[in-house]
Amino acid sequence: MTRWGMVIDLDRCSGCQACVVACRQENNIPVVGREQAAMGRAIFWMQIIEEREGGHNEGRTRYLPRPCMHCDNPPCVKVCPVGATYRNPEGLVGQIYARCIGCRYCTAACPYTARYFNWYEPSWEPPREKSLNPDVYVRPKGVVEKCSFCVHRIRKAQRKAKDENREIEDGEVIPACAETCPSKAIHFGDLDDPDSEVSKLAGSRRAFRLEEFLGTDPKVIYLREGEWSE
Amino acid sequence: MEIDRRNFFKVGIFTAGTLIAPRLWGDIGLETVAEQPWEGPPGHENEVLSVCQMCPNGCGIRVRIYEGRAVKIEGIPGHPLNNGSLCPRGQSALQLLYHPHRLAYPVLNKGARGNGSLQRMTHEEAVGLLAEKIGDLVRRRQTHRLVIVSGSHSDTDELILRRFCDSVGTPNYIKIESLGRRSRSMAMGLSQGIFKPPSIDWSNCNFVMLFGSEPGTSDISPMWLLRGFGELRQGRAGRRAKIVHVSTHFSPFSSKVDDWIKIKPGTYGALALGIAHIIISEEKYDADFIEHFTLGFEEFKEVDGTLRPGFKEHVLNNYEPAKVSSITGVPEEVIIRLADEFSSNRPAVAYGGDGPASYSNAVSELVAIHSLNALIGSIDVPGGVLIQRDPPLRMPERVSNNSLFTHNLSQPPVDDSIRSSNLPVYMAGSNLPMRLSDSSPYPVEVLVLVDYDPLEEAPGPNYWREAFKQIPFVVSFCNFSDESSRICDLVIPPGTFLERWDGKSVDSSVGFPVWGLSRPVLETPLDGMDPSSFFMKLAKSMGHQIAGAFPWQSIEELLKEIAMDLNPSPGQVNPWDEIAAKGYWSQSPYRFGRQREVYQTRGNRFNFFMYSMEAAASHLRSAGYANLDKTGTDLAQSAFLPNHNSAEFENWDNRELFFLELFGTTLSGHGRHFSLEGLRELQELDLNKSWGLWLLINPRTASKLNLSNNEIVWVESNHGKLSARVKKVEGISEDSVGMIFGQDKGTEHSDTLSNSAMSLVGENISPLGGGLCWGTTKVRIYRA
Amino acid sequence: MNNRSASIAVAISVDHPLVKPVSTSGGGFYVTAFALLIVMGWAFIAWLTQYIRGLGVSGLDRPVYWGVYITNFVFFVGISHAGTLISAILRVTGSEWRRPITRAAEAITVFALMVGPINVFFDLGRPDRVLNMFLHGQLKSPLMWDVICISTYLVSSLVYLYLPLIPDIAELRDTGIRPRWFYRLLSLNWRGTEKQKHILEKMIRVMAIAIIPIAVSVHTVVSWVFAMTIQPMWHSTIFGPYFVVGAIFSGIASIIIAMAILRKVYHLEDYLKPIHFNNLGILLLVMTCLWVYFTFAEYLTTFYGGEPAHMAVFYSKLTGEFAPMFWSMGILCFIIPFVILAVGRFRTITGTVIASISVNIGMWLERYTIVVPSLSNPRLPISEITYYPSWVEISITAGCFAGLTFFYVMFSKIFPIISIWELKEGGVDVAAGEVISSAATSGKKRMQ
Repeated sequence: MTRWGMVIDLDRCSGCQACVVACRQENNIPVVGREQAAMGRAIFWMQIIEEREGGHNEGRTRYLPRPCMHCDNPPCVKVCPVGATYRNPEGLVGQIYARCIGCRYCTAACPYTARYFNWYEPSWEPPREKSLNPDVYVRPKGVVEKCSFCVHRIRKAQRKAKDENREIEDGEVIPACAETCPSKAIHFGDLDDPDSEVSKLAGSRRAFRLEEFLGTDPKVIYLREGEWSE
Repeated sequence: MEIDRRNFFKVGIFTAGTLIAPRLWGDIGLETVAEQPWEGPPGHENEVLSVCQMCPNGCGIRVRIYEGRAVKIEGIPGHPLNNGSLCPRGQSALQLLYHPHRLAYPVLNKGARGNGSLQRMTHEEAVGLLAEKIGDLVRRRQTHRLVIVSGSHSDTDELILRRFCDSVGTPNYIKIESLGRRSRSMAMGLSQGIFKPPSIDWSNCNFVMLFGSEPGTSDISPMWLLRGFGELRQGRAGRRAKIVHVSTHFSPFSSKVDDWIKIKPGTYGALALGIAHIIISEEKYDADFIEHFTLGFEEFKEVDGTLRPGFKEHVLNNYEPAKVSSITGVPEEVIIRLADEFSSNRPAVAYGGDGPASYSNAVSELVAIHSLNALIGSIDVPGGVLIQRDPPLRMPERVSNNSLFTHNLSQPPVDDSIRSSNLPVYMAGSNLPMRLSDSSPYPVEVLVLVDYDPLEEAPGPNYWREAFKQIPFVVSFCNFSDESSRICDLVIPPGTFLERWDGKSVDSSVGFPVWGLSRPVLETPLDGMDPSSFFMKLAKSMGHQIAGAFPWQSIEELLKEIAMDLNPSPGQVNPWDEIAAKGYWSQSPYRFGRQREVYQTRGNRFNFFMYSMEAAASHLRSAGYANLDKTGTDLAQSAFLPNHNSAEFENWDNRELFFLELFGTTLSGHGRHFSLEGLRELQELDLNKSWGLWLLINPRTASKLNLSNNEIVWVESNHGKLSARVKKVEGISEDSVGMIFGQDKGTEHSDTLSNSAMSLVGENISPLGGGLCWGTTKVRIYRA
Repeated sequence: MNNRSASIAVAISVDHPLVKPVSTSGGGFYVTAFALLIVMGWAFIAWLTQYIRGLGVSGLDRPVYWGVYITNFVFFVGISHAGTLISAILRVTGSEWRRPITRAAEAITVFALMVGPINVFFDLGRPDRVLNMFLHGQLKSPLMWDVICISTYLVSSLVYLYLPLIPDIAELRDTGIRPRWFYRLLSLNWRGTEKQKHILEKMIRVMAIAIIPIAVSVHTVVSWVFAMTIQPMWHSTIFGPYFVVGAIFSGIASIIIAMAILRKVYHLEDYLKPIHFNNLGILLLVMTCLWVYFTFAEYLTTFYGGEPAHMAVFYSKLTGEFAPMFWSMGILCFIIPFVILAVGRFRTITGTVIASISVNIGMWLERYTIVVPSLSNPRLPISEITYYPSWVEISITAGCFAGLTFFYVMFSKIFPIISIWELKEGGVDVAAGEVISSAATSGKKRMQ
């Protein structure tokens, strides 16, 4: 069975935010504007977050691109009262916008704050709407949304493989963030396939996961910065 | 109804039943619920290959078109420059294409500028109007009074506009280059005779010293640097390069590198020469390379007997570590360590970026930094400094000067530039606005701005406001109602790069030649006519003589002609179809070991002793520039060696002043497209804020000035002032404040105050390089 | 036994102080009701704005996804514990002094339970899809546990309020208060026969016992909404009992306030006596101590463990952004009530009322400082956003308080707020208007 996962190599990442822009473009994420952004209501399925090593108030800052972790033990799925968010057999944590009642229990429960809420009806000033991606739903007001691991790209690749009567290949599915990454820091693939690139990278000694001790079992694996030795 | 026990329990069970019945524990029927991707009716979909021009670099892009709409841009996989990737600015190009505030048609301002009545017209009518204005100059034999200032990234615009100026008879085609580019080109020009910024073979480096350079922040090779950053780290199994970042403030990028060195503003070159001192005194330099490929390492005598000083003695005598340490603030042991690591981990590269390029001593600092590469032989070798080669384009021959315009063409250019193909002297864009407002050397009658908004992008916007008042007819080619176009007579929307034909050679990056073909991605073009087409049309409407210089029916036809010699496969007659199918042409790999191509200087060697600098100095002296101290051109022979001259800052006030560090980020670049909402909404990493104009300030400085986060303060220089919000950032040093290029550009309109941080910067141009020194400004901070 | 049934047979006059609020309405009532209706109307406009434009009109943001609405929800559900739980415990333990106060308390429960959960509805991004809770309800979500427990509690509280009302409704029917059909219908043909009384008393007793675990479960699952997540300072095992204690605490305070107002407005001095306030004051004192014990245990454990994510929340409360609220809570919930209630001579009507008002404000702050600081300091990323409630949230909150008061006032205008027949059962000669309350005297004796 496929279990989709992502590896983000922090040694390669320069913090340029190309992934963030690409994600917003690909997934029809609206611009909320100055006032709303100041209130913390801008939506970033992929966001570069700061993590201060050594606690909240001291130490060096580390920058990490943070998509949805697609946890194998997702705290958000458990608490949803209407089953609007679920974990599918491929390990993807999905969101059913049409069912979501907007109680924001999942957003409150997510330890990564990776879920976002549509405070108002999103809008695109004409002709902005022309650049909307036809593969991705536009979300109405009042529902929760988050990174989908570009599930539409996964389905497209799977359909193509099926039409050509073959198995899907490693590296065939590339989410928008990984595709644009200038320093090729983001890798995507099947964690259950021991030969896949992500599986191999996930076995690296540099590998760690965010808030691992919480037992959420995230499927986004980070590779910490390397050391230079002369 | 009587209450009895039975009734009571009935009620209870009913209540519980209705609540529990709908769903029990677990994922019931979730797979039947609609999946996220929307499977609408399959629409027609295709991909158009083109070239990104959000910066001058020229990445290959493929645009996904769905039912005639452009819905996403990705890089072209395998493209030598960006290999399928794109930077944040490139990803935002569709926001430019489908911007709601794009101008739809040319507008003529009738009456007073700024508040006259606006008349809508077609592009054809605009061509006619401009033909009339320029035709008038032609009739009066005053064509030199036409000035075209272009900030366009397009190579075709460059060709057509220059050609138009030549054929009409004006010396006043002025190209505005990216900030810092000119100084970086000059440094390469003085030492290697190549007037282009250096290209670096990142993927083979082992040790990188970045002097005030951050990948992705400047307009020079952001993608190439970002790509290189990943390659250096984890691109090669078992070989991880060390990256040293020398800069004046600790940025988010500084936290990404292996070693960050803090340096005082304007002293980069001193550090480089201090490192050179150690390398030379410990004899860790590449003696073989120095012997065969450099000139002036040791003292030498000219044929005529003139004694030329050597770099070696010069550095040993003047840049001992203790002295350098006191200049730069970098501890001696760090200088020694850097020298050791740099010389023993080859191939190593020293690279100067926006940091050194921003000070008044820009060119000499960049030369000093580049001399480190020569010391250890890191030029024209894998993992070293390469030169960017041009594709063999079949450019149309220059317009032969017809008798009609010889007089006009020989007029002094209005920007007072000294244009000599073999002298690194350039004054363009410097005092241009002042001279325009003074009507010297002659009054200008028609000013055409192409993709350039001087009131936002140029330093000292008030000079430009003055200049505008003096010029009877000002035309602006711009897609948005920007600061400048608001006070223009005629505004013509040129459209975006996604709607036009263009050919683009990549800027300094990969080394080997790459030529990308840009073409309209939409079947039905939006509004706008690109400047090339416009001026070709204009020329054709202006009569035989001028029209004759433009024999092509369309830009596409011109490009076909230009690309004739780009043979992808030997023996092929017309390469066009193949280039069109691939999106670009390239000729890899890089050819090493062509000394005459790499060093186009005297002796075809790396010039430690810079002959062209000496020539430039005498030229400047004869042209009447007295104050040459900052270029060192008045000084002794040793001034023509790599030197550190102290940078000048504007100490305009007795009260406490702070260095203004005006810098770019990967999102902002140099601020050109930073008005796109999609970019503005992203949080700058160390700011943790989006939108707005922010002043980055050290927390200790802030508490000294009694300022808190989000507070609005005035930032005042001797050129202007603007209000910004305070954000305490630990990485900024205590004697500086920071601002980001282009923040809040074009968002708040005011006739007296420009909101771009560039308005705080003065017209400080280094006479030698001609580049703007935007780091010389000092500001005062006080509560609004 | 005979005496008592005989006394029931005597109809009470319409001018009797216990019936007068039902039979006649003065200007004060209309003014109050109108004022409350205006506040509720304004809140409705606010809600309508939110419904049309979206939750963006609130001050909520990321990461503070929950704010005043959820605070209100917890607070009102907390208040609801007063009534039914207290009256049930007092009934079960046979405390005689309870007789005049049970109904006033139970009514608070019912109305607070209506106002509380509706705040969750206000908090929904898609209130139009609220039925999904039933169509697609997921029992694994603590929010569904809430729905089940609260609705069960609401239904049983209604029944528990209604059962002891039946004889009094019959009394009103017999007195001839209009609308007669209303009282006739609701009295369920009560004639006060021995058989009826037997059934009624048995049912009340069963309900009183059954409702105690239901009430405890309600505030436990409310706390579990927070405790079941893994968020810092929410994920705590003592949240269940901590919330229940807090609920009873604020509940008792609410009863005291309500009783004091009723006493004053309806001139019930003969029935609601200092002894009741004194006794409830002692209960409140016990709860103050329990509450402070739980609070101390909760914060000490967090502090001693010293996990960074928890400490960020901890310090934001003790010294940071929420310190003013946190320390106000400490003063209002402990210092003020403890000083007043622990000293016997302060435990007067005025004293207990001041303590109760203090406790209720403090408990609202406690709910707020549980909901908001944890969200303001998420594990990731570091947030600099400060949450301020918007006018919409403030209006709706005001509307909630107005609504609760309005329904309570209306209830007291339709039904006797003091259980007449239970007083009679307790040996009070209600009809005579004289008080020979064995309940009161026995209470006093115990006090001494």
